[in-house]
Amino acid sequence: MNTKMKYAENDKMSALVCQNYYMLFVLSRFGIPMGFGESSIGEVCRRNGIDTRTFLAVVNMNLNGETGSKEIEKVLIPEEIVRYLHNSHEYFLDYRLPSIRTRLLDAISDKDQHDVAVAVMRFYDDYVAEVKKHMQYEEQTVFPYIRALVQGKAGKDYHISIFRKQHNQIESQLTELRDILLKYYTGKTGHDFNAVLFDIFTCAEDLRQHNALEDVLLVPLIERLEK
Amino acid sequence: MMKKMLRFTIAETSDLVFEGLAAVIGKIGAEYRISRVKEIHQLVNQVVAERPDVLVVNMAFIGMDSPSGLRTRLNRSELILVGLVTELRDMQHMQGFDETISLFDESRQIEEKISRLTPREAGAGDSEKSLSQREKEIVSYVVKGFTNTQIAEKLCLSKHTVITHRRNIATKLQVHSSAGLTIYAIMNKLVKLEEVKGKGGLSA
Repeated sequence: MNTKMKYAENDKMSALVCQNYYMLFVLSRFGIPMGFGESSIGEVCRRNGIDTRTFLAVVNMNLNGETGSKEIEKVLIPEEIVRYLHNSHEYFLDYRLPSIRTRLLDAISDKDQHDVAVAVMRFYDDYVAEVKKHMQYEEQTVFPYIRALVQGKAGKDYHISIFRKQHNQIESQLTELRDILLKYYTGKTGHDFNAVLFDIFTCAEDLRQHNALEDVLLVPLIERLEK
Repeated sequence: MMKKMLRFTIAETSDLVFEGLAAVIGKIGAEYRISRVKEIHQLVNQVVAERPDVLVVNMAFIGMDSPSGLRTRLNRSELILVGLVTELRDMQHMQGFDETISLFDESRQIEEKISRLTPREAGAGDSEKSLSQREKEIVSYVVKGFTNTQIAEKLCLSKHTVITHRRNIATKLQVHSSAGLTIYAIMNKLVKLEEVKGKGGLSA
């Protein structure tokens, strides 16, 4: 997955995806359709009304853990990052997590293991409720604050440091569920089970990246704006 | 004994020192991954993003910041913080680090120091073991919603002993939440579904 390479505007979009197919998740949250032919990253972004520098910052951070260097921060547009994060929230809450739920339920609905299935689904549903709360807070408190700040209309009673201090690791419970299924599940497993377990792996990693983006790209950017 | 992979981040401006330390760590033989922070302003961000197990940081690199201040800013209590001394006069500022490595250490000493840091994961060796009968009892009470004090009374143990058992259970199973323990307990038939707290069925 990790080619330790920094992508730039003139690199081909198809090359980015072929070399790092996990970037498909990022593309889907930016709303970039396939069929980019030989177009460069910059061309594809412009065609879809996406700020290229934001796209590259997200991609390079995902791939290299590359983070808020001063040069990157200077060119980033807070609203664009917020837009991407908002799309990501919708993606996780409306698509990814429900889709895993459906397939998880199918995979563990073994008649002899009914109780286990109930316990697993309870855990999963509680987890999703937590994620929803976490993301709703950002949608209802953090993002409006950032939009107001950019327009110079932010009040004095909120600061991004409040968010920074209480922002918790969103994926850790999902990782725990993953490990429990991996190590202790005794029911019948097959293709469906392994496929959904694989999804849980990638989703947890995706959520971790999502969180890191907020901690590493968004927070420093807003802190600078507050000064 | 199975060892978990250790992730190192080394904050060091000098290429020579970085490469040298990386080579010494590499010789230890266990599984390591090493990354590097070259510029001070990237330190916090990189630690947040990479979540290393061990952060080796040059005293000169963090400047005025104290190890405890650094730890607070990084907000990672479990991080092992190692001070790297490249100048003798820095020796006096080493309080607050879990370990210090000096430019003047022999590589054998550095190897020893680093191996000594890993016992934080000491549970790893026992983690394959299954739970003892007493631990299983405690798991079943936990998932039924009993508090530590109540469990202590039921089993005629001190509360302190119950807490120690719970910590051992968490280390052995690598399951830390009581919701997670519930799944484990049901899978292993330590409790029945009706006995545990919680609601919600199999609605699609």
